[in-house]
Amino acid sequence: MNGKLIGYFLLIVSSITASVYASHIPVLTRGFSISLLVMIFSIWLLRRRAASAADITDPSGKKARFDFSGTLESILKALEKLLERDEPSCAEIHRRLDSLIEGQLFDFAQAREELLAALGYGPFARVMADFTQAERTLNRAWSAAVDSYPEEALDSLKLARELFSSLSESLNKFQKERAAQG
Amino acid sequence: MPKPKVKTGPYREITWEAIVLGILVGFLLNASITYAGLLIGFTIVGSEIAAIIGWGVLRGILRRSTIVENNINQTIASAINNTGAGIIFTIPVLYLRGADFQFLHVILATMCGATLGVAFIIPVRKQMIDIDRLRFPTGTAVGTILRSPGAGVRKAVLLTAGMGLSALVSVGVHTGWVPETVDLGAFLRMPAYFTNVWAISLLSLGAGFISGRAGFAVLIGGILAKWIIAPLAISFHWVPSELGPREAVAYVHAQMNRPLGIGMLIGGALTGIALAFPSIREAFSSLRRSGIGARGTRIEELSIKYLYAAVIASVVVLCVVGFYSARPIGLPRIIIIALAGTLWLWLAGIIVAQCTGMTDWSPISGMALIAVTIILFFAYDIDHSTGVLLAVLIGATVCVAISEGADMMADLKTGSIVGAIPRRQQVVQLLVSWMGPLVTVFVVHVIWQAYGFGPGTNIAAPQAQALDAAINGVVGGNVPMDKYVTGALIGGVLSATPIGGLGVLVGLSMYLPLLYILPYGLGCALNLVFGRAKGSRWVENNGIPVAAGLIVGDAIVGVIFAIAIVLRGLG
Repeated sequence: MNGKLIGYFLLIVSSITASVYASHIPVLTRGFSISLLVMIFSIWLLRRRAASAADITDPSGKKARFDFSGTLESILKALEKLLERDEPSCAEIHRRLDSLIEGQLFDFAQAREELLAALGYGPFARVMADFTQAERTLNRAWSAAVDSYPEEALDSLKLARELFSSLSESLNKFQKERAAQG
Repeated sequence: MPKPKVKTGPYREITWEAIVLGILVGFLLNASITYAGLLIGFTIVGSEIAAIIGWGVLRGILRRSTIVENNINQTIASAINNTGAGIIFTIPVLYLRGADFQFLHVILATMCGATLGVAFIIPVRKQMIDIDRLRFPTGTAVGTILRSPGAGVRKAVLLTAGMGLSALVSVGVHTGWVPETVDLGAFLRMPAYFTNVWAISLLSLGAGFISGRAGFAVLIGGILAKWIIAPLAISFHWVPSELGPREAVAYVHAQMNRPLGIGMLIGGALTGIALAFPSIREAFSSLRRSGIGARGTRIEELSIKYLYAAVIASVVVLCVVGFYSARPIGLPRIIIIALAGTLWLWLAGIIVAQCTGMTDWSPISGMALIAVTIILFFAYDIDHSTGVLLAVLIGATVCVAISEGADMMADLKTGSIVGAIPRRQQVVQLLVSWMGPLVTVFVVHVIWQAYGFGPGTNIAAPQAQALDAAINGVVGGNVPMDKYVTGALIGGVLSATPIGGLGVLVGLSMYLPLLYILPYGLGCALNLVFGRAKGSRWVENNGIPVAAGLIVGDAIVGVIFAIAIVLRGLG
């Protein structure tokens, strides 16, 4: 925590001084250069702190905060339950999806910074892109249910189930790879 | 209560009703907001009013609309409307300078700009919306309106309450019984060079609330520019001594904060693009893959081959227009200028879309200034008047392109919220975006013929006058390159922090008017405070509908007053 505070303090002060020196006509190069170097040092401090901050791939689960895999499983179960029913009504689809969108999907999206820290940028980008596509498909099902188009709502629900299932597999794979790297 | 009738058949999305209504509403908004923009210097997006008209006509009168169909309507309307800002900021300069130009060249160049803007921004949809999940406050607000039929009574009430309050205050501001601004600085007896004026803008408050923590950095840049740099520069006598306090503040803004801010914006964006390069590369790969579509899956993105075709065709037309409008410069140099302009257009489009996504602010004027500077660098020494003509033409192309790009992304954000298929929105926007410049250029020409604009007329065209002054500065050798470079270095380093896009946000707000940034920052702060006190879910379910209503109410009143100005002018 001290390292983070020092980093932000240095960043704020050096950014201000760099901007002030740069605003002079002409630029006060010595003051600007020193301030810029301090800025770079503070960035290094902050990125080093951020890299060691969160780790949710600890196999024992002790450091884990948000359970991404568990949330996806829960979403899949909710979709399976909805699709098991014989021709669910638009009202039922609307109600269930409201709960899902405002619940587990919202929570997953809110925790994405932890996911970035845990997986690294490349796998994080793949997971979030697939998640948002699946979420958009569920939003389409929601809209179709509100507009009283049950066929479209059911088709979108089935597609969303496939997308979330594929996403769950990808996430598990990335987490195992990350854990194996160490 | 009777059950709603179950509908069969394909889910209505791209329909003739949505297309025709979108085009008509787009034309109306474009013409009225162009006139108002020339008069007062800024424009309004209009997506919100298009969405509400869509509900009234498609759902209310025709009784068969869907949420995604109304989304197509507002996509088309905003695509046609949004070119207005890019053109009124630039093309009037040609009239003000008495330039000898062809109407057809202006129309073709700006049409190419509209097409390029859409084609260039489509590949970064996945990065900005799916991966970064940028907020696009106006896009979110429109999505909230489109979802209102199914959002439940409570959210509808909150949305309506926000709209009502904002509309009431906006009417008061437009009619004069509510002051436009509050000078807290004077009230607190602060020195005259310490700017502390707040605009009464619930739209800014709402946009800040939706932006949340991400937009809070916008306040930092405003405070840095107006509360730190300006007072220090004046106190240290870094400004000409003959200037009074207000002139000194204006001097600091024009000579120091603005170029520094533009530099930070560019440096911050370049760093952001470099850091996100792996995922941008992945986005391009998936664009190539998703145009094909595996069996059983939906094809989500427009095939990249159509984008290549649109870009190549537009660049070729741009080169031809450049050749015929600026012959003294010579074809080889015109091709270089067209390619340089296109490259800048691509980069600026990404920067502006990113800014709009994070904050709802679009630094179009700053990007236009850079475009004009680049073109003048290549062309001015050959032939002065032709160089300026070409610079303004390319500048207009860039402005239209980045407006269209930012609009496309905001509409795709709306589409993501309501479950629209991105490819369908991309297709309609590519097919109609060229119509906007046609309307705007025609309206600008009619207004010039009928009333004139600029100093000594009733139609000030303030943004064009500002660009004209900047051009005079550039041709006079007054390009603050040191500020651009040092700003870029600061912005680049800031964007390397764990807070993504910090350099872009700080740079953006350094040259935007503080009087709107302050209520915007207050909105961001309220989001954080309520988030801490009540939780993020409460903010999402209660705060966002109210904030969306604040944006919508103010925008609707702005458009109504714009139309009233047009009718009064015609009368």
